[in-house]
Amino acid sequence: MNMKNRKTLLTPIRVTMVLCFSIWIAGCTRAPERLTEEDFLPDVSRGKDLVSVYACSACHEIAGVSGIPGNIGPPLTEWGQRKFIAGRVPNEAHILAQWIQNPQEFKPGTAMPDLGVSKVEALSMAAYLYSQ
Amino acid sequence: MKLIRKAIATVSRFFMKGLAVLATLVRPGQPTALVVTPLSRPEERPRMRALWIVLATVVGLGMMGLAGAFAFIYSGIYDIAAYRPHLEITNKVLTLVKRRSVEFHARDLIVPELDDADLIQRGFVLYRDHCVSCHGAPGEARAPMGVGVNPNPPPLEKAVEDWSHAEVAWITAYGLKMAGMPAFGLGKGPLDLWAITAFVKRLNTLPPEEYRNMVAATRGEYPMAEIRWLPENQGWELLEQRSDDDRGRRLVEYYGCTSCHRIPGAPGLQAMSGPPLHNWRVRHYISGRWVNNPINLARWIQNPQAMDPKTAMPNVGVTEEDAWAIAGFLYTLE
Repeated sequence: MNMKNRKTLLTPIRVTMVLCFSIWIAGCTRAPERLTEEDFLPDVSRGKDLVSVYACSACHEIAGVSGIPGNIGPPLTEWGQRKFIAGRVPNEAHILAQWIQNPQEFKPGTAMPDLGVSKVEALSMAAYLYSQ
Repeated sequence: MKLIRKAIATVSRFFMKGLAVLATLVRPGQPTALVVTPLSRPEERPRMRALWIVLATVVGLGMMGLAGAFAFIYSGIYDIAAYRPHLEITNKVLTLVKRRSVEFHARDLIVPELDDADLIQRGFVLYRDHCVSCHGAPGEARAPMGVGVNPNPPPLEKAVEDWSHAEVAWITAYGLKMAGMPAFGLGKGPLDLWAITAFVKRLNTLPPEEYRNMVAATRGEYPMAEIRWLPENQGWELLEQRSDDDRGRRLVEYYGCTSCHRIPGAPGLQAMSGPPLHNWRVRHYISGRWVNNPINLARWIQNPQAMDPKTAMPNVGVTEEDAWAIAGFLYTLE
């Protein structure tokens, strides 16, 4: 094996090293970040994450959320077309958010538990459900 | 002896023939020559070089892959936040690993008698103290520590459908890596583990209201200390006798069920005022409160207001006979 061959072998390693270094530099030069109130405004894509994080999909079938669809509660696919929440109150965004936050108050004894969801989070989840 | 020698001879002859064929494939035009000698011949040098190039490429790519993986890990780009869900592929792999591993390790576990009332009662107390915080119970939320765990601890009403009793006991005893499931076998005996299994096994026949009563009873706020399970046969035999899928389908149309529900296979509007009814037989609750079994469903279809006075579902005057036929049809839905 001659020098030329060795050079061709070394090139990818050099490229990787340069890449690592630039990533490291990039990590160092970012401006400091603060959590602001704006990070917690209702947001559809955050709603999608929250639906998964709060394990809504463990009990409900929800479009766009990965995993085995839940079968404890009713499916929430095409939620925007539904007329009632819990079979009793009209399906409107602010009411849905209240239901997500406090189902036991709407329907004492329901199998759906109060999970301690904040208002903004509930609004985000509602927004995601309507976007489906 | 002679036979064996003959057999060996035949096998080796075949083996040599196979080698010869392989050699022709590798170096066309030189039929039966063996591989070792000609490689060192000068005219074979280009072939050697080709081999080296292939080898160097494989090793080089492997090293680059390793370096890339290290760079990825060390850079910290990977988002370890439990707040954001796993990738679909990660979920699938984790689920498969969990499924296969538990099935394999619990394969020889012998399950004792689990229908003993005392065992179930003991299981309930353990469940309330150890499991609710992450898995919740019918109508009861998981504690804050159980919210936001990723992957999510599943509701255990469903466990009976997904795992055998031996598998439930195994998971409870040894826990699950990569899922945050603790090994509850630590500090407990087999009796406790089977007690939890016995309770979990019956969880999908426990109405939310009854679970609340049981918790209240252990605090002394409620006189009942006995668990009031739903009857052993929850109407499945009756349904068998009374249902008639075809009649059920026609009745669904006649009573206008599809004006509010989406029901696959039934004619009509297929509107979405009420919940869609596909996969009805695996659904756990009726109106979010009553355990889904034929008795409750037939009652509900006949007079929903009697079971939930505030429900939007109207009493359309279904007779008892018709209600059972409709129920029978609904349990066949995919």
